[in-house]
Amino acid sequence: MPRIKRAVARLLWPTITVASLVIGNWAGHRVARSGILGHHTFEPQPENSATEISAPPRPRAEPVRTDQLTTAAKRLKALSRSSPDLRWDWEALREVDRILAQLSASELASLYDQIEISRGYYEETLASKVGGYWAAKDPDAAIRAALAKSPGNGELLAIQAFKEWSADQPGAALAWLKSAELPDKLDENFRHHVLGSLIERDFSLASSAYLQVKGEEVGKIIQSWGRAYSDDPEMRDKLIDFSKGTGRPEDYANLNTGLMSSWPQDDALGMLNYIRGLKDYLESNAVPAEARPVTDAAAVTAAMEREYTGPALEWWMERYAESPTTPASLQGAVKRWTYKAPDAAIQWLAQQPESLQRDSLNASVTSPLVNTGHYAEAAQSIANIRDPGIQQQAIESLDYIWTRKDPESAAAWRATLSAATPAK
Amino acid sequence: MGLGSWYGFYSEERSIEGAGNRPLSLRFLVRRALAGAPAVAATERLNRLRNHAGHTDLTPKERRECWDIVREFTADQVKDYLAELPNSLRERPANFTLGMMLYFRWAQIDPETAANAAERESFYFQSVMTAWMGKDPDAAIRWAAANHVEVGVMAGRLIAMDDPHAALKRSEAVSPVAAQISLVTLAQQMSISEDSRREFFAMAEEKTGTKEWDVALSAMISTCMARDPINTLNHIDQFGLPPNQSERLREQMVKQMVFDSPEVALTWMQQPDAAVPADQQLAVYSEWAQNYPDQASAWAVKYGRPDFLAKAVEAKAAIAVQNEDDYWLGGLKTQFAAWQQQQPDAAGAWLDKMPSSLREKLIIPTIHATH
Repeated sequence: MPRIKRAVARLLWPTITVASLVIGNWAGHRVARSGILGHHTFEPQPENSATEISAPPRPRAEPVRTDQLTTAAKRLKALSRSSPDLRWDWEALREVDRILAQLSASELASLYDQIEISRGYYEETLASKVGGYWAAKDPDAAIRAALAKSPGNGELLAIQAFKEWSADQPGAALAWLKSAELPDKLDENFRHHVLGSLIERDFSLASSAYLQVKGEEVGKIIQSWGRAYSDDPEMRDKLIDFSKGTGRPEDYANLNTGLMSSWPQDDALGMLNYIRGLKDYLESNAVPAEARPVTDAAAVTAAMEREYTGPALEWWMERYAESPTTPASLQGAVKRWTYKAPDAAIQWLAQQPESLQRDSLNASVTSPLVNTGHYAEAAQSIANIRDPGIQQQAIESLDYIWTRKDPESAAAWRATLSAATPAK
Repeated sequence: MGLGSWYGFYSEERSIEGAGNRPLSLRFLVRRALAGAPAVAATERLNRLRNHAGHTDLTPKERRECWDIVREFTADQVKDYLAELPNSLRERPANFTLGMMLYFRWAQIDPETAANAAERESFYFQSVMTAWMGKDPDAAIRWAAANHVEVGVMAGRLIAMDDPHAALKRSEAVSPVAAQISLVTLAQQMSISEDSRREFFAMAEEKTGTKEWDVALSAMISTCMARDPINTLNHIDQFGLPPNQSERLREQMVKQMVFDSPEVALTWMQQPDAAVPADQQLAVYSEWAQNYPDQASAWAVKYGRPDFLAKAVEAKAAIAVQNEDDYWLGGLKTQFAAWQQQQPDAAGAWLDKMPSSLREKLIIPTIHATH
């Protein structure tokens, strides 16, 4: 026994030391990932910024050098034919870049015209390179040509050419986009792409350009930033500070949606810390009163998507019990929850005290209940609505959906509407 | 515990900054100590470029600079830098692109070692084979055969490009995949004119009736469609195709056209000769209207198809009643407004039957003036 005790004593301190190192290492990883102690930058930025140019290129009329063009076309065709896979053939691509860098806009236009897109992705690689070089000199002509090049693939070709150009000259590309005439949604696509790539490289330029964007696109851009950088504490904090300072509450709401939807599962500490900060912010006076319902609903929706349904809805009901309407984003989240877990949704609603907001949410759940075959529960949800205006609208909507799904049972239900159904 | 916490914190910070870095290790420090100053400078430059890219890919200019550095690497330098790239290479596009360059460079110097080092199903293996096939395709094909690795896609295309007339025989000796790809490549390359197509049919006569033949013909007609879809569909019977293939290919190409360009497809379908049933046309229109309501409704107005507008509105309304967010309502409003312009009475009568929650969102003030 004394021997065993001595052996244990000898091993005890080394074991404790190793265990401390392992646990400390684990804890250090978690704390760093959460960002709660800030962050240290290891790599300084390179000296050449990607955003020196901020005006769109001005096309110049230059003659076509026929011999040079013919030689270039032959060489590019040969490279394309002899490369096993031009997308990853770095030596061939180096040669392609060397050739294209020497050509004028007119020469690049002529080359682009000669490329047959129909032949496969090797030619698409060439088209995106040629298109990119051309767009750097004459974006209007290059993008127009790309769109017209192939009825089915025109947009894709235009996007590829734009990406090649804008990656190296985002400032010029953004300046061009201000006045470019592009088909519906393509300018959104282009802008989205530039700002998505730029936000980390040049936060100042990207955020200034973002503030000039109008319409629905605004929300989509900042949401995509949130999704892209949810795992990066430094970028996260920068984006949060920026979005809170724009004077537009929907910016932080949309950023939050993006962040929450892709927050890494292994960063529970960071997420809890973030949610605490989010709650404090929403409960402060930072958000103007008229914007609070939509902002709060967006936050609750994001929390529900991450399975914090109970606490999020509880918080919502504390603040909005007497509101007769539910913002569309939260309606959508409640519907999705009902599709996924109809019993849980019904039970939760049944537990809520009577209120206008309970009425509004009851109206929201009827369509998913009907679509999942829970007809009796859908009817009961309607019966549980106290406000006559909300109930009437809900009856009309449910009647429309139910009749399309099962006319007989819908008719039977309509017949019962005049009889009072005992309600909670 | 403090030391462990510091190390964990420091390692995590390194791994999440920019495009990520591996934790410091003794091996890393020894490698750096043994490398010469130029090698260290090159490595540092690559690290700065990829960390500046962070979550995004390298720009074309950065890719050129990276390749200019990597193409001077020795095999040992390649291996050393691969050891520095973070483990989860696919999470950061810049790391992935650099990985592709490094394996390509490695294959330029020692293709067999590089091929054995790269994971078989990975893109890095593709990069190795791209370099090897470009340098010595016969050696690459022999190695692939000896190691039971399929390289038919690259080999088939290269053989077809190199020697069209002997391509089918040569590619059959490599693998069935190579044979298929050679056939497809030839079909695409020779699709351009009636004479070249005739030449292709003669070359590949022995393949007639096989599955490979069907695939090659589809590729040929796809290539023609990419050039001029309407003309191809209208004159496919005159393409010199073997008997019984025209109708099969026409149906396939209509589906492809619907996917690539619903506007072109629907416009073609309005031709009486197209003989596409009304319900199929409506299905194409509805799908298009869902994603591009402005373009679709403008087309329907231009081509006098208020019936499409009406049907699309009815289908969308059923969804919009259940989902009241802007995504569903936006498209519905556009389609309804166009329908209302074309057929105000019918649109108004339909609207009157809708739930009040939807009516309120679709009612346009001028309606009140007319009712």
